[in-house]
Amino acid sequence: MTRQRLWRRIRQDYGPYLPLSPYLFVVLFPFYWMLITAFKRDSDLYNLTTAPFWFKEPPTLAHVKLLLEGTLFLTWLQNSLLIGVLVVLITLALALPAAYALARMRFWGSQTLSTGMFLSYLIPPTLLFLPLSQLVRGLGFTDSIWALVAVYPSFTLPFCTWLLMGFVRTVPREIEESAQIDGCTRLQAFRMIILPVIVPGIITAGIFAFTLTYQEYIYALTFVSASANKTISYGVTTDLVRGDVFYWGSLMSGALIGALPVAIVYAFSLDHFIHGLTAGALK
Amino acid sequence: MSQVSRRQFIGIAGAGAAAATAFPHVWIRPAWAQSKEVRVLAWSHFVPSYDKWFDGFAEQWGTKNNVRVIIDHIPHLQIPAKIAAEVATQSGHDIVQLVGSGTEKWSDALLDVQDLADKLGKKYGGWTPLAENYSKVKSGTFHSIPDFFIDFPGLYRKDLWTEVGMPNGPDSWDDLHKGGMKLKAKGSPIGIGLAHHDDSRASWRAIMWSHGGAEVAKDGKTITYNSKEVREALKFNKALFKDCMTPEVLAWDDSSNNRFLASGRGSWIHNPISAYRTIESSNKELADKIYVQLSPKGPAARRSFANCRAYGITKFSKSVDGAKGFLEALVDNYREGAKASTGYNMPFLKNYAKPPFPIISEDPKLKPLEQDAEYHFTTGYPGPLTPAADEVYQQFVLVDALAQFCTDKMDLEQTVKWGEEKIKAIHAKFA
Repeated sequence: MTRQRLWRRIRQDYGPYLPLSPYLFVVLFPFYWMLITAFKRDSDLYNLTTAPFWFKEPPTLAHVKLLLEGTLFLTWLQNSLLIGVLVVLITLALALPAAYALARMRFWGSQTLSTGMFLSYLIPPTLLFLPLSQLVRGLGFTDSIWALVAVYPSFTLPFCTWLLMGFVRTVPREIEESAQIDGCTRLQAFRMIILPVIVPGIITAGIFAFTLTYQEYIYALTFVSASANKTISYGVTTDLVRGDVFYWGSLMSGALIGALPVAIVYAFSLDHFIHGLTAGALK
Repeated sequence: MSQVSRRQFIGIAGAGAAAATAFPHVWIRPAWAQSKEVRVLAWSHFVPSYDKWFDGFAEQWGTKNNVRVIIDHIPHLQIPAKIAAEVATQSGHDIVQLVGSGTEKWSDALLDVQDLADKLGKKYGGWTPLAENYSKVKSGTFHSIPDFFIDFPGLYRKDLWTEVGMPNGPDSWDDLHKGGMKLKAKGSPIGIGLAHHDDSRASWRAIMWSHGGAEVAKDGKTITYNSKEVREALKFNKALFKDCMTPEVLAWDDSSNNRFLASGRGSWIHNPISAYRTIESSNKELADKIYVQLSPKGPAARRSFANCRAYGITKFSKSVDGAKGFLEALVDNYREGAKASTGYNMPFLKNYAKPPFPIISEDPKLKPLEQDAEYHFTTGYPGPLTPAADEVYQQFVLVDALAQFCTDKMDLEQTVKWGEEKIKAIHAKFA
């Protein structure tokens, strides 16, 4: 193969990836950093005389061991997953009918309500945690994971309702009307016509609700104290950041393992998610 | 045989997993409620072995006294938000740890514990003035039981300071400036954070107090920031920043000076011994070169900053006697706790403040810390730790003023005027 042909071949095969590489570098570098820090010895990590991007000393599993054996990491992971799944179910159960009503039905104040719904998402949690404390206490959920299950929909619900409204609007009104002419009630039309069509939207809303819940910190801090009830984002910082002492290796191990469930959720629903995003963008 | 579809299998398996995960949360709670319990909100101690001891001690005391003691550890910076939420709902922990902000701030929510403070004071030779300042409220009674304070000594590289003729480290701030200049030229600067984090507001106060300056007078009300002493301290601080440090200190957090020393580049930091302890566990060779000294003295005196810890009993506690019993036992076992903290916890009771100290007196490197109770003061010095003084501390007023002066954004007079106005505005809010 001549030099010229080889060069052309390389350009054809790898050329399209070139514009992608700066993006990939920016997106993947934090994960790479987490990965090597999770397995670096402390003495290697603090050594400023060597290039920080690779190991100078042999890798170690000490940080992962500390995370798994010295903390309640697996319990926190389990709590986060349970809370995430329950919040997704509650959010979808409430957001779907709300989105349908706001998108399809015309009633007094519907426009204001839909705008207000979205604006309520913008209220910072730091302003809400004191009044929500009263609510949590009233429900008898103080210091349990149910406090978070009850509180998290306060920020997932407005966003997901607003998101789902866009999807419901993409379904032609005529399809639903045809179903009703054929004998469906409004509820049946919603269940049998609207829901199957907006599945990508439901998945998108579910993923958003899950990730928003999974990464939440301030409410978890306020409403939960017992170690066994902590979530991953809260538990990791509690046990591995001690004042001016940061356990970087274990923190990075925690971040890496903690990112896996989200990565899996995204990986398995990527096609629906992308479809959902683009469909939601167009009416 | 009936067939189970893939969808059904996933549904059943998912429901089963969710039920198994949720089961303990549903089932265990009612059993908890039946037992007599004391719940304690505490920080995650800088030294993990202390938390291990503390949790074990609580369990042992609980078993002996038939009380279930639950210790909840959270990061110290988040404790005020947690207490605020509990006060708002009048429910939560029986005992809350007060981390740095003093007792007055929470006095409305805490029980008067003068009886217990008197009992303990009598048993252990009386409370130090620092303890009284931290735990007494306006009415003059204890509303919290002092636990320990965190000192701010100097940590220095003996090998590097020997090269500049100070083998025992810089005894005065002026020595630090002189030696620091030479060491920076050799590639080993000193480091004191000048940013929004705990260590910054502690260290720069230590220098100001050592120069005879203060933000407020002994009455806790008269603002004294506009003074000759504060001006001298500001000028010195600027020289120290420019001549002995690198601008990275403007972006530091509490862990940065630890990393700076651990990297082998830093020659001196102003920090509790946690930095030394961390290096000891990760780089023995470097740790051997690091020594601990008294916080340097200034033209007026040797004064450093104490970050205090105390425990208050909440008014909504349903187990006041249990809470008092637990705190009494904790103070009785102070030396055991200090040992578990590897010399990090410093005493508040006069008898405990007499050598020999656990760990500290046994280690020649740490021996200078035996004197720390004598020259450590806290927010609001020379006055009481009022909510106004705490607010000045929390809002980083002194750090911001100094940072603007050091980076030439303001001249000396502008800095003093800016700082004074900010401090006066905060105090006016609480007047």
